[in-house]
Amino acid sequence: MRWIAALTAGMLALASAAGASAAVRSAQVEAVVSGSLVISFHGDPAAGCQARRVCAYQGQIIWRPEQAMGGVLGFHQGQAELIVFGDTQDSPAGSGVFTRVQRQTSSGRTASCVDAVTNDVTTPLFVHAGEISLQVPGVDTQGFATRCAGPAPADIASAIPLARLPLTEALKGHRQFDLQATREFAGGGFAGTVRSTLVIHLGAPLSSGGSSATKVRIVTEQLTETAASGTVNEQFAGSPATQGCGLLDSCGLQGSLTLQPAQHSSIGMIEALGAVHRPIRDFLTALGLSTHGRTAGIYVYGELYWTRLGNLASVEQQNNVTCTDTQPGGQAALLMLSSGGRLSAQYAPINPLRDRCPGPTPPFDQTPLAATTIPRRTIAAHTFTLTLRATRPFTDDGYLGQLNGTIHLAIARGNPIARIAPTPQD
Amino acid sequence: MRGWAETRTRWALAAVAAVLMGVSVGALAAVRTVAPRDVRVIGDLVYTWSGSAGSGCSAVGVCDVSGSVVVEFAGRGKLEGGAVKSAQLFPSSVTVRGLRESGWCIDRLQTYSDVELQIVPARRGGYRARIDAPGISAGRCAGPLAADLAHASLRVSRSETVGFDLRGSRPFTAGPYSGTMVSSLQLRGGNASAGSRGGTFSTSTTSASVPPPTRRAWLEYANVRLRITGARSALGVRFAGSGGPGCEPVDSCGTTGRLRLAVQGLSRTFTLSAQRTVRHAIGRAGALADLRAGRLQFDLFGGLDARFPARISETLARDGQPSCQERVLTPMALLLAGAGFRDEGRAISGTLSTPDGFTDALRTHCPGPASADVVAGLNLPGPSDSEQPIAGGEIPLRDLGRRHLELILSGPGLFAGDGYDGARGGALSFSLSLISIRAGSDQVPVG
Repeated sequence: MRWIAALTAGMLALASAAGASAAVRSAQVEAVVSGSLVISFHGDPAAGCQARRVCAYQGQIIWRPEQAMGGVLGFHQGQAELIVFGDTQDSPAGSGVFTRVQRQTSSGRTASCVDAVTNDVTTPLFVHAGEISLQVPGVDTQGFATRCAGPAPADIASAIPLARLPLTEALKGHRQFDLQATREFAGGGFAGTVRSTLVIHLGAPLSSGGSSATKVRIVTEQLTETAASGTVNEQFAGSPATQGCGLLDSCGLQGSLTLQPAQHSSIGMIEALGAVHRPIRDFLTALGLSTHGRTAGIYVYGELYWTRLGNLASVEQQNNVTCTDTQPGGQAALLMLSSGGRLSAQYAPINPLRDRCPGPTPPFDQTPLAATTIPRRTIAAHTFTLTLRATRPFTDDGYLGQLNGTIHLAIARGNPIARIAPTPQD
Repeated sequence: MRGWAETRTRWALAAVAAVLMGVSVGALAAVRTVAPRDVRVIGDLVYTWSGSAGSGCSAVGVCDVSGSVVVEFAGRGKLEGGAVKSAQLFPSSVTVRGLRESGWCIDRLQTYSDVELQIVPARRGGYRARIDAPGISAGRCAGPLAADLAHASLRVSRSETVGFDLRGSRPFTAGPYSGTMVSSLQLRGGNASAGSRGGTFSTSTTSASVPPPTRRAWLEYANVRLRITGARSALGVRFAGSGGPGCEPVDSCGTTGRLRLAVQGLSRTFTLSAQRTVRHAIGRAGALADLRAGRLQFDLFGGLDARFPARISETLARDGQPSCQERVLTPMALLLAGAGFRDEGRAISGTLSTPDGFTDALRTHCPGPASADVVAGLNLPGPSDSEQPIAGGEIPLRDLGRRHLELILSGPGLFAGDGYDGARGGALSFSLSLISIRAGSDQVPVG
């Protein structure tokens, strides 16, 4: 079984899309991935392992996407992105990322951490000067982050193969991105080898889905994050032996990871959806911009995305050895939903909050990192602030922890734009 | 994570769907509700184990093995009932980890089976929960089987703030292993399900019309009573660790092994019943001839559905050296049935399957391929979606009526699973002895 990812390459005007056809605004091309990626690493003094306290670690990260299923790539307004869905029910022998890391303790014992993750891996595709560039999906977005210690994406970036194709050729399909290579890397305290036998085979172009005859009225406002402050702190410790700390080498470990959201002027939107016959004042009232309409039956939904969550800083101690690291966070999203006069907002990382040190991966896809619920009238102002709180315990394989902190997001609203749109088909 | 992409899409589509549906809440408010409640599930189940000398790890060869399985839940469950409550929890991931002296194993299990709780008042106050977790095992790693972990019980406390608190631990033994189950589960909340605005209602129709007169028709039938015993010989599987990096996660690199499935002491009687409506009386000889020619339709609920233990033996070698060997008893189901009302056929079909919920019936406490790996590509019709056929065979209808019959079940073929490749072979041979035949026709009322 091959691993299928839909690859969309777009032709919308980019600043330097010289030579590329401007006629194609969006496209999808089916892709099939073959091969595997094996990253072998060890703590290396020449790479600075002593400063990071990672000299005792060595391990492997293995990714075999051939058995995985699913994947879609969207192209919109000049940006292309490859998203490959991992099936969380697959055996790691079939697909997903798995890792085994060994640590030599001061007493001469070998401790092991064994873990597997099956995340959706997302990678941006770069379209420049008529060429589309593709690197190994997910490496730069923490898609390979597990609970074990290991190199960060920046450490192995130079060793990750990159392939290019002319954009027009890629859109025709029946080509391939050859990512086969064996390269060495050193950085972040680790050194090692990246062996890739990955090849992305492009199939036939896909046709886009249609839309139904049913229409809705949508009033949309652009949202812009203008300021972000606060911190969220993740305190954690290895679970008792009866809860499996021995298999994740987390016994006796204590640590914390602090997130500081970075201000990236993230842009998103908030929309009010309703039946076509409803007057505009109903939609504006639902968005907090008027008080003269009826909001029953009008649904408000909003989102903001960040490509970089912020900065992560961790400190961990185990057996009198301290591991510290700082990393940029991966992607994150803020989702908002209005119901009954109140707006609930949930903020969560899309990629795991992980760095080079061992640590948990709390399931933020089930419970957000931080959240709040406010009266809908709060967002009536041109600029409003969301104060999202993180206060809850969590359990993860081999770890117990507690989240604390507050994040403040200042969000500016744009001008509302109304349209009538067909509802999309699946 | 896919969760957030799905959440975003789900929220957006739900908004659109609600607008389009225009559901009027008031129209449903008058209906009384009897429905399960949604509860918030916090925590997880963690099973850890290690080879135990007191449990015979030396004989099996797993004294250096340790492992764990972590069952995480989807965050929401269902709770219903009065004095005795039952809850359904939905695992979102089941991750198995294993270590031995010079190897490691990691596996993820399919999460088709729910975890069910029965919460009953305890004799000395409080509650007890029986946990039924049919799909939890060590998977392809060395460790407990699903049957070892399928049932457990815990003390439960209840409070207004926490709800049902199932936090606690219980020791367990599983073949050559001993271990501990730790629950950090709590069931909180308990809002009525969204569907509770619907409810139960009954409809009844009364009619003052005169019932139609009863007709009678001839029903041709044949009832064949048989005794099945067996089986001789055995099913066999040879396997080896797959090449490349695929063998790494499940610690199968350099391994070779064999599985053998044998049935002992099976003895059951059963009846195959078939019939059809005819226009006139049919004698015994004629009905038997029609049965053998496939002109009668078999009763869907007749035949044989026998559950019995089978013995699974496994030997595993690493790099040519014996590493692990064990025998366990595992539940099996043997189904014998004729063609049903919708099917056409000239044979009685027999299927050997794993019973409902036992997803690792071909596993022992040694590492090895999953049952699903072994039977992949074996196109046998299963009794249900959750029962996994392992072998199949047929008895031609023309042979019915003979004093002695033989049913041979087999499922030869190759497989290439996650971490292991191999081949199936061998066969199970069952003997069937005729006890009696009743055949002919009767007049029966038809509506």
